[in-house]
Amino acid sequence: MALTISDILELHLPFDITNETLNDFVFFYVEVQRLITLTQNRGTDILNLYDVIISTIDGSLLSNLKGLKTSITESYQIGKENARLNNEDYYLKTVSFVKELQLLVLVRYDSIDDFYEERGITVSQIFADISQDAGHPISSQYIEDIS
Amino acid sequence: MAISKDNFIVVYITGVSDSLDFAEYYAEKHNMDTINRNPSSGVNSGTIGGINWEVNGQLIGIESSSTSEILTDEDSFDTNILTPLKTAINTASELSDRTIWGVVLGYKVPGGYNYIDEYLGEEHVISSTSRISRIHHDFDLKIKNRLFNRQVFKRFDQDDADFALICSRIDAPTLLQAKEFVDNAEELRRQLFVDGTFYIDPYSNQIGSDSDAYKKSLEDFRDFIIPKLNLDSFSTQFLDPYIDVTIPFAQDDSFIWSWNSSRSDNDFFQFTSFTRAFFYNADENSGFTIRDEDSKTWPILSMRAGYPCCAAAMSDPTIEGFLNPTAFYNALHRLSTIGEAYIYSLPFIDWTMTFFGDPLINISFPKAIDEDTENLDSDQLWEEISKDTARIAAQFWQKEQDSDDLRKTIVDSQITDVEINLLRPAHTMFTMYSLQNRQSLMSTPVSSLFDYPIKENTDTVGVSVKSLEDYLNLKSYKISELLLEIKNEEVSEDNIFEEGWWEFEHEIQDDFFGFLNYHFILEVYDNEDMSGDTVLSSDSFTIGGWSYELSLKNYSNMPVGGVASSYVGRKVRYQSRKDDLISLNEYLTRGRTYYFRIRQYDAVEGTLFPWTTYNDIIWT
Repeated sequence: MALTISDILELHLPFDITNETLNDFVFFYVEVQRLITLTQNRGTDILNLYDVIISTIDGSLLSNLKGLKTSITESYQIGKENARLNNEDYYLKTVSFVKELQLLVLVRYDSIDDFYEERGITVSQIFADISQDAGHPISSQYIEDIS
Repeated sequence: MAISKDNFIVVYITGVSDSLDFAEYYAEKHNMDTINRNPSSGVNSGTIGGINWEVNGQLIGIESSSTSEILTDEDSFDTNILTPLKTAINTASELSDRTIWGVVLGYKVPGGYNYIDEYLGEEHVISSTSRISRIHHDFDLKIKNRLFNRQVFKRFDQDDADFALICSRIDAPTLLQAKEFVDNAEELRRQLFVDGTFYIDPYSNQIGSDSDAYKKSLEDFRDFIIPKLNLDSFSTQFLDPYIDVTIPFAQDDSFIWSWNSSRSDNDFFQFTSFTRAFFYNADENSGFTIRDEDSKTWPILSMRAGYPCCAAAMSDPTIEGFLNPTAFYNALHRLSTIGEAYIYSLPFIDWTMTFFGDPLINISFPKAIDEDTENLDSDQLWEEISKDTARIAAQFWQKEQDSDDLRKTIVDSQITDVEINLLRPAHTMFTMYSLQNRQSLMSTPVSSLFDYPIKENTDTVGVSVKSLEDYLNLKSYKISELLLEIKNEEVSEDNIFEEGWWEFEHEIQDDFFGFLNYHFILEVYDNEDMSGDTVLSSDSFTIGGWSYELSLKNYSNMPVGGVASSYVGRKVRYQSRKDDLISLNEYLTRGRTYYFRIRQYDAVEGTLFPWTTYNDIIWT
């Protein structure tokens, strides 16, 4: 019977390198890198949307009778600040996650770059920045050119 | 930079002393340059095609071999007027650093030329103001005016001038009368505002679809635009489609816009204690002459009665070629010069219509323009903000899904050390976007959004908005379920967007740099590269799902013939459709980002223009 996420979270297995094929690991790694990039981008998109809304309200001819314009602007500024703090928190948690992820690479390869070179992997700039903050810098040739 | 007297040149006929006299008189009234700033250097005169030209400040003299009001043909006009004038503008050193957006054709400058359309066998009189307006372009009979009836207002600029210059003509039976027209214009410029009666005659005895359309445009103008000017008005009344009702006489008038009879009598214009400003009668040929003292045509009668400006056709402009009053007065109301207002209301160029008078006049009305008309009102603003807030909620919602995908990817890998070392941090990331945490992150703005219409309408007489549901019912708005997750409110299902519903908007671009009707092709992809099959593809020619922005945030069904380029700056919109009866379902996946590209095409010729790309998250 397959283990559920809750089951696995309860497990405290000793560290071990299994016999999985490296292909499975590569597939897994690429997908994780994609998801992490995606979620970080969403954080930026959220802040941009807050800026658009605040700017829309600010530039409108909305009456400030009863202080409504000020009030709604402030509430969106609070929302934006919440999102910003959440982004920072999420980023730190992502850094911790990526640190563990890259350690799993180093169990299998001498360096992250070696892994990328052998498997022809490139990662996003966002992922590379996170990896750098996690103590695993990535050489520029393995970072996707977004230009 | 708003257009000013510095952007104008005045044309006169050299060798005709009265013509120079008039040009200097006009220039003096406007404090324009009449001598060259650096007379000892550069070239400021020349000869082309045997015709001499000279430039003195903002005055251009042309030694035309004829001063006839209407020249015999296009060759004669080109040789005597157009080519020397164009050469002077392009080569005179005095004009090299002057931005020329307008031309005033002065006393004794020919007013037009005969033209035979050999293809259709029709004869026309092409007006000088119309042809010189397009002096930098080849002649293109009855070309549609790209600046006509723009739905998003802007002042005249270089981009406009690249298409057409503002050109007017001031001529008269005598030099004295021509100068009087300038004096009348000066008197008008001195007025704080103009507040005489607006006479309008929307009815003629012409029948047919073009006639009906023009009548409707005049009625709409009478009913919706004149009240905004806060002027007293007089309108003729519709009697019978075959009877041309006319304005019996004008008294205490400042503006007249009428239709049909091209001639009248001297006693039409009676006493006015108000300043007269602009006269237009939509007819076939009352602009044929402005020099014949005995003529009873409208331009002569009206300008003699004190009107400093008017417009008229030199030969039949066709009904679709009549000036558009709404475009004209919307521009004037926004403090455009009368020359700008004219070019914005003119359907065709290289055609028969002439603007007579001083193009540099600004007119103020008793009521200033209501600037709110081009800004979102509070309800439109609320609707827009609610959609963007739903986009934020969708991003947070999708972050939870992405984090869940991360957990599942770890489990699905079935790689032991991966599961052991990564699942716990992944789970921590996942819980950051649980519903409870999303509510905490967004409750302040969403509460404020929901409360706003209730607080705003609290003291409004006759409006009962005690809940979000009341407001959505009142405005026929809907809201995203993702916002109701953040703050639970009692909202009926009819007022909630169905999951996966989406809409797409695109600002109409001036791709053609001319007047035409656009249709649109929309493609939707699920990948950023826009590769592989489309998720959806739609051509606005099919109409279904498509609409265009008639006025700010007010959408109307897509016309079969496409959207006119006068709507550049407004938007087209596509709204997804779902109909189980015909197995139609265009809804997309909530939280997923899709990639849209749209291109405009010429609705007649089919010419395709470049793609514009967008992306959006599904927020419903």
